[in-house]
Amino acid sequence: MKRIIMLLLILASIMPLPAIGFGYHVFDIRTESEFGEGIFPTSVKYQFNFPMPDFIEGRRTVLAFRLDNGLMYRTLRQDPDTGAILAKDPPSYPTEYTVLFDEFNLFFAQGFGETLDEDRDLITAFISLDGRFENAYERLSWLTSPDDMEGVFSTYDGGVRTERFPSSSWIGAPELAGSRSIFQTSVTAGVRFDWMDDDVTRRDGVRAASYLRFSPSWMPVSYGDGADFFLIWNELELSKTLLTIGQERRPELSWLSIVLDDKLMYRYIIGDKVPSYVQGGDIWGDNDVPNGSHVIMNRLSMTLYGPQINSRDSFPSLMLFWDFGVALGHVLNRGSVNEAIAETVGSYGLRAEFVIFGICKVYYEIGCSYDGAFSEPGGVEQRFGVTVGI
Amino acid sequence: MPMQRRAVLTAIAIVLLLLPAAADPSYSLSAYISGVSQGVDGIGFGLFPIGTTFGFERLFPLVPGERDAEFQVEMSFAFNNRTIDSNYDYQTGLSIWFDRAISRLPAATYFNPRASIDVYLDQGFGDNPLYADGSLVNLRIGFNARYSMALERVDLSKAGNDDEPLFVDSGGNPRPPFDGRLPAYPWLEGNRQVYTDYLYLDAYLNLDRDTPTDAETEHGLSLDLSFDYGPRWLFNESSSIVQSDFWRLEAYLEEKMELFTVYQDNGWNWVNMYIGHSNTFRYTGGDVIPENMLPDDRLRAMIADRIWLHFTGPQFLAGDCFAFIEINLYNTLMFGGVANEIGSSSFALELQSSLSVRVQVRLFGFIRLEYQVGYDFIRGIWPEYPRWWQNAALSFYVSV
Repeated sequence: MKRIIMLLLILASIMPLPAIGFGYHVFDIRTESEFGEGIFPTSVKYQFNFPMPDFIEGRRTVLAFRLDNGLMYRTLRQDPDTGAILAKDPPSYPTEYTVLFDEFNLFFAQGFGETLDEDRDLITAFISLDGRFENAYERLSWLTSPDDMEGVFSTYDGGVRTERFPSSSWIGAPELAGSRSIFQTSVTAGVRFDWMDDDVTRRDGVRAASYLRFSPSWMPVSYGDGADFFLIWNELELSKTLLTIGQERRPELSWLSIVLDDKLMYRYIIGDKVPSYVQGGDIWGDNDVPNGSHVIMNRLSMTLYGPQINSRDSFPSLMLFWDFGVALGHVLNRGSVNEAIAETVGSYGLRAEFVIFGICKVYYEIGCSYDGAFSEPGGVEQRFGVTVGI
Repeated sequence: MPMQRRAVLTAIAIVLLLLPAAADPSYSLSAYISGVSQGVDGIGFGLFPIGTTFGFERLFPLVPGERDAEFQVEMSFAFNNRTIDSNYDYQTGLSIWFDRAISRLPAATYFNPRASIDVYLDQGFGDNPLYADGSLVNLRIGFNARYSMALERVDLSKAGNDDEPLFVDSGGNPRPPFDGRLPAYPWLEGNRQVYTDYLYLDAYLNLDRDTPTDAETEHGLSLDLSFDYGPRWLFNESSSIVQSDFWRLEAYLEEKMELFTVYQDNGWNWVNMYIGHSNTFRYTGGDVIPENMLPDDRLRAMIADRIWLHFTGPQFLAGDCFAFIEINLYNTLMFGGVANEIGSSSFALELQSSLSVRVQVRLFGFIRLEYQVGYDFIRGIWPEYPRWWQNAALSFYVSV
């Protein structure tokens, strides 16, 4: 690993570097509802591009350093002692906790072939060296009132704080063992396919991606002994604009458009210790796809976009969605127990959103979890919020 | 006003400031990262960043015949522990240097997740004679919203930690004195979730050169005047607790003169040197100064004088790879009443002088290696000094 890092650094140092500074991109800004009413950011994912010549004329060559850091909430899904899925027998204690995290990827990507957008490539192959740091704590509201004394990791029994899992082996959540801090490195390689005409409120085409992540426990520089896995992740995205009515004076903007999207994901994991950050399985609502060795998820949605107001980044929209997930194979993080699983989860709902200049989003969601995993209850939920960010 | 309503009003204020920029039909924003914090002890061996500052900006025509105006929204967050400054009476705000028998908060640490959103519009007028693409005068109007929580230390839930909570007792009820009014520490009062806003106006006079990588010689004069205003009516009161009611005036004058520059064949520098001088005046008024606006040692007025000599070595590999040495002499006079003191009965004067040498290596625009050594000479309310000091740091910071 050190040799590879050195090789990449040497490669970078001998490149012609006439450019001043770096290109940088912000990919994702996230919020949490318990922090500043979900308006203020809690994490951001961004990338610095090293100055690089294109190896193939007209096709993009990228050497970049990607960082993702901040704070996020996470839910304990498996019993720390046994690895049993908590959805089978929901616990009475809180399962939500806080994670401070930093993830970096030093990656190299090369594009091949023309696609519908000159700024993108038809096929992009990439390889990256990754590192993920996490430190887990109780949720932010812990110890703020008499109703918030119970935590995931500790309990106030008779006014005395005690460990909830004093002798835990943390089979079910390996990254939480010991000091609940982990740093794990990995190597990822993959390929992306892009034949999508994407214009914010109009989409037609297909995107696909597939990558492998190799993260054995012996990876150098790692600590915490909370990860040992091999991951295959595949995504397929199909979009079709069913109707569009352009604005007469400015045809690049639309009065109305209806877009049908389908996003399919399949992942397969082999390993004794699979940390939460690679498990996936989030669908709309509180119910998640259980941590099986095979997980398939799909979102079918139809979005009605209202008029783009003066700019392409200001518009109302209304989306109907149906989320479906299935866990197959055997339960991961189960220790020596080989437990087969074949479980489905599902939810459907509606999201109304007003995007203001691409920065501010005011949204309302209402949905129904109709098929919880095992004995997880379903039910209707609604959310209203404002987010600032892109 | 409920927190949720205030947060929504903040979003509306941001959108209102954005309206002039959105009048441009080709509206879109460029992203930037302006700062990635260092790590802190206790979290991942201090190696991993715990905060980031980032934003989006847009240039667009606003005033005919002038350069494009700039719209910027900048966001930041940080999650680390903070120590309570227990040198002030939590009921009266009196300082320990005024009365040794004050009621002090415990000098403990707490977890302080916080974030801010800053939005401004900037319009330039005229031509900067030393920078062809710059304006002579810039006027800026902005809005800043900040959210901050004071929580128990993050390691309190760790196995084997038997420490008592700082803010609550074992039943979850507020522990004295956090169960009452804390006028000197408004950010630790009530539920300890603080939401504060302020408006600001800045005026800049630019008679200086542009330095895109900071490796170039600085030369010229600049003047900044700023006024920050965070009254209680600007969403700064919650459940009858005023979390901010302040104003701040600042003037900054800077003069720099190039001594020499030797260029490489490609236009980069071999070496250069300039000398600089600056003055700062700042006054913070108002009854409730929020934590992030507290002046040093809580003294409301400050006059600072700085003289520095700056030597830059060769640029190598890339334009933003270079090293510099800087010798600084600071003289800072702080005086006036004590911020957040009820009755404003005390007054103090303090002189801080510091001679320091700073060596910094910058690599690729985002890596900084720094070593500093200095000597502080302080007269006034904290007479423990003079002393020698030194520090070294590796930081990641984007200044592109």
